[in-house]
Amino acid sequence: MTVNDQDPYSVTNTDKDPEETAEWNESLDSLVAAQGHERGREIMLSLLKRSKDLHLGVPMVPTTDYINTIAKEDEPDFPGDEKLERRYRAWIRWNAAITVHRAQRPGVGVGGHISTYASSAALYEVGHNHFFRGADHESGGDQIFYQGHASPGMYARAFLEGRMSEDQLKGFRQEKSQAPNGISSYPHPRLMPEFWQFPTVSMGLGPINAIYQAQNNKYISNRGIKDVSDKQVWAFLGDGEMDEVESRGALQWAANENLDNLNFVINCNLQRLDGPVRGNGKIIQELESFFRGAGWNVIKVVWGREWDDLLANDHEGALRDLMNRTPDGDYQTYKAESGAYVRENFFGRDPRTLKMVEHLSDDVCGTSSAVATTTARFTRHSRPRTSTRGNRLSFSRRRSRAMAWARASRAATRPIR
Amino acid sequence: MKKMTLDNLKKFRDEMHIPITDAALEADPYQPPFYHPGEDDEAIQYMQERRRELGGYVPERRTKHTHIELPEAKTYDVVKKGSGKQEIATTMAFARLLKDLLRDKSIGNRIVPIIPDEARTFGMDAYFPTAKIYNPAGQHYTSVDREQLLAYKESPQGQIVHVGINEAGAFAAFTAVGTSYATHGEPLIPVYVFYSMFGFQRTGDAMWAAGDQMARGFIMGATAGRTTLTGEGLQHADGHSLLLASTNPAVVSYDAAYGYELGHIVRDGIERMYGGKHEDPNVMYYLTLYNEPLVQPAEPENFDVEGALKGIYHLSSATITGPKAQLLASGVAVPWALEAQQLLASDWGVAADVWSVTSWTELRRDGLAAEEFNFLNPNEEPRVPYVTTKLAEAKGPFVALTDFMHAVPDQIRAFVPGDFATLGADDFGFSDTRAAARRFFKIDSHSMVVRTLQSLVKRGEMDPAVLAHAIEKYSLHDVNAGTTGSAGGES
Ligand SMILES: Cc1ncc(C[n+]2csc(CCOP(=O)(O)OP(=O)(O)O)c2C)c(N)n1
Ligand SMILES: [Mg+2]
Repeated sequence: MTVNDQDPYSVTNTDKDPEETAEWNESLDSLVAAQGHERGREIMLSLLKRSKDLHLGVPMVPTTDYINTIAKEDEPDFPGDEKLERRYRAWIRWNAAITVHRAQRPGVGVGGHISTYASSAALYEVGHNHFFRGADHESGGDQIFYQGHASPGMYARAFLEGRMSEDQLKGFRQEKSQAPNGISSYPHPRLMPEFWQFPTVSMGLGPINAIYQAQNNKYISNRGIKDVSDKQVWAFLGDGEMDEVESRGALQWAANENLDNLNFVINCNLQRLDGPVRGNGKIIQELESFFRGAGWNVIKVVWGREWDDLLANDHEGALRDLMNRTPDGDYQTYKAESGAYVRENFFGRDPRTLKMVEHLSDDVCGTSSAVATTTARFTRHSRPRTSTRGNRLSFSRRRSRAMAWARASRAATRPIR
Repeated sequence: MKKMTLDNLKKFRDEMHIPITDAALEADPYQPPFYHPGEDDEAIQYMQERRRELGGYVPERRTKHTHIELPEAKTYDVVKKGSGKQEIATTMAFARLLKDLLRDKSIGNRIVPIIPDEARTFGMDAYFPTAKIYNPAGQHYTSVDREQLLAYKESPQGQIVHVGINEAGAFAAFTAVGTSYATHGEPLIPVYVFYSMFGFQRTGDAMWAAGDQMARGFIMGATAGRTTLTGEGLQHADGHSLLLASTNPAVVSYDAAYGYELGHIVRDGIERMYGGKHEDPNVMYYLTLYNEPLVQPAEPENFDVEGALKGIYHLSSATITGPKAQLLASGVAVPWALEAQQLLASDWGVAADVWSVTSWTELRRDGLAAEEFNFLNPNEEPRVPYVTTKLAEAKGPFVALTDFMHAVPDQIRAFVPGDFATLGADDFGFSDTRAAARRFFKIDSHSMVVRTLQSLVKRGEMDPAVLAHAIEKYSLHDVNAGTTGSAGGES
């Protein structure tokens, strides 16, 4: 897969003098061993800079390893009561599923999606519990573009909050026949003018509208009509949806406009309706390089806590290699298969990784791989230009917000036991 | 998720720790109970507290907004006077009107012109020096045209949203600006100006979503018409955007012929969308503009404003006596109908009236509403469609003409009280002179004359021999014999 090659553009990838290369690598190894990651990074960045001065034509490497962007040790603590949050998240998931299930019963049969919300409940709930500000907040409130077919989850939460009735849940997708309790299939402000703000279900319109919403917030503030500069725009998107031209076509524009008030959260469940989003490739890696190339800050949240120990003991990088090389199509299969299958076909590809899971039961191997493929997701922030001090400050503010998000959503995606 | 079986339900209930018994699930597996522990539950309390802390529930849509004073009628005067001897296109007339609106004390700074790289074509570079182009970074270069009167001026306080060649982005910007009344409680008036061909057919889905989001504002389809934007050809020649606009229930569309019509339509639109009095302000106005220069007439005395806003008004009466006919036309085709009126009188002794149809679509919607009312309320006094009432006294056959496909005027067919024929340009456009293109599509003045004669013959009011004679007299089959339309206009 070219996206994982260090230089997808090189004419040849054979090394002219492997021995000499190995010496350079060793020096770097010992530097990191002696002085730590931070210093290693500094040296590498300075070498990269030097390579530019020397016109070596080293391409920018747009992707990072297929692991979480924020290392375990850099994660802040979870800001809330995880146990309570997990408890009612389960209630929301139940009510969302029942809302759809009832609407599917014979004689009604009006359908509904449930797996979309099921795979993103933790992301939304972290947002609802810790990030999304309502209209009474001093900022004026955030603008949130909910993924259209995750709507049952929002109804189910509103029900727990007491602002939507049981009869309304029963009226899901029966807008006229259950009036005044009918509620709409997807976010439609015209049909539910006091609830939904942004229609998103035509894939691709959510992302582009979110970008221009963020621009509008800047515009209206800059022109002195109203100061709404503290509002944040959030767009929840599907990985399949990212194939729409509208989803990607304005990304560089968002960066040019310096939209540091904009966040995309892409739920990379690797799946769209008919099959894998990228069976032979890796959608997360592709999106990472695409967004970074367009000038966005990318934070990947790929693996749950179960993987922390394995990755910490991956001294030779064998597991990371495996993660980098495994195509999405295989990850989906691992998710569906037993732990024994995962041991044989994933870990078993390299004797070193097979050894790493020797002490784990098949059960644990299975659970871990399932977690891996259901929680792959990004948080994105447009990257402000760093030419002025003010911007730099705001950059770091956004960054810590993003880190807290990543940490919180990762914690929240632990399987419920 | 596929349908859940009873077993799936039980397993899912266990995973989610829902205190619902097997018996409760078994009672009706199609309708399992919802679960709410009651508002005093510790977890619910915590959840509510989180939302209180964060400023209330989401999602939530509010619409309370700042009240804005609307401009007085005289603000729209610039288009009332006509253009004197000067020939200007309706695009230019609109640009002048907008210039005055931008200067208005109450709404001027709330107007947001949105333009995907055609401002100069539409004469809207006139706003560059004063309104400026919005750019959060300002302008950090020495602009090549800085000495020009209409130089490209960028500023963080700029008013014009210039998104580059990017109709998808432009419409996304329109949506955000047009819903600012709700999102930020501050009404803004987006005025999105673009090549009409690249509007509804290119971004129609986004326009549908904007209707859902209840955006308000003006969508200006400039360079409209199948034959008016000369020389640009097949991919530019718009003969159907009005029809596409009619499919969006949130879009109110007009095909204005003259600046003074535009003035009233824009004023009415602003009042409807921003005045706070109309029962349904959540609409977008789609107005077609043309680039063919012509002398803009002054507003007629006793102008029928109500008719123009509802979709049709009587523009010109026959000056002779003879067999009667009614010529209906819209937009750039109105002057062709006026010429046809002359030719019918001088060449054939036919007394034709001319009507300007400002909106075929609004007339149709009104007609359908009347039909539906009558269908469902058989005991009530039947409603008569507006256009039917308007044409009730008009004598002779009706012939309709536009620079659009037949289906545009055909929208009112069911409500026209009499013989009705339409002329239209249904095929792909091509590049040629206006006169040749209009003759090719048989939508020029002479084609209208012959079509009218044919209707009169059919009614037995003229001798059938005139038809072959007229076709020959006007060399109707010869595209080079067409004379309808001037050269010129920006494109
Ligand atoms: C423009 C458009 N095309 C097609 C659809 C139909 N559709 C609904 S959901 C879906 C799949 C979405 O996949 P993804 O974005 O990955 O979301 P997921 O459900 O996996 O989170 C499709 C194609 C749509 N809603 N909009
Ligand atoms: Mg998906």
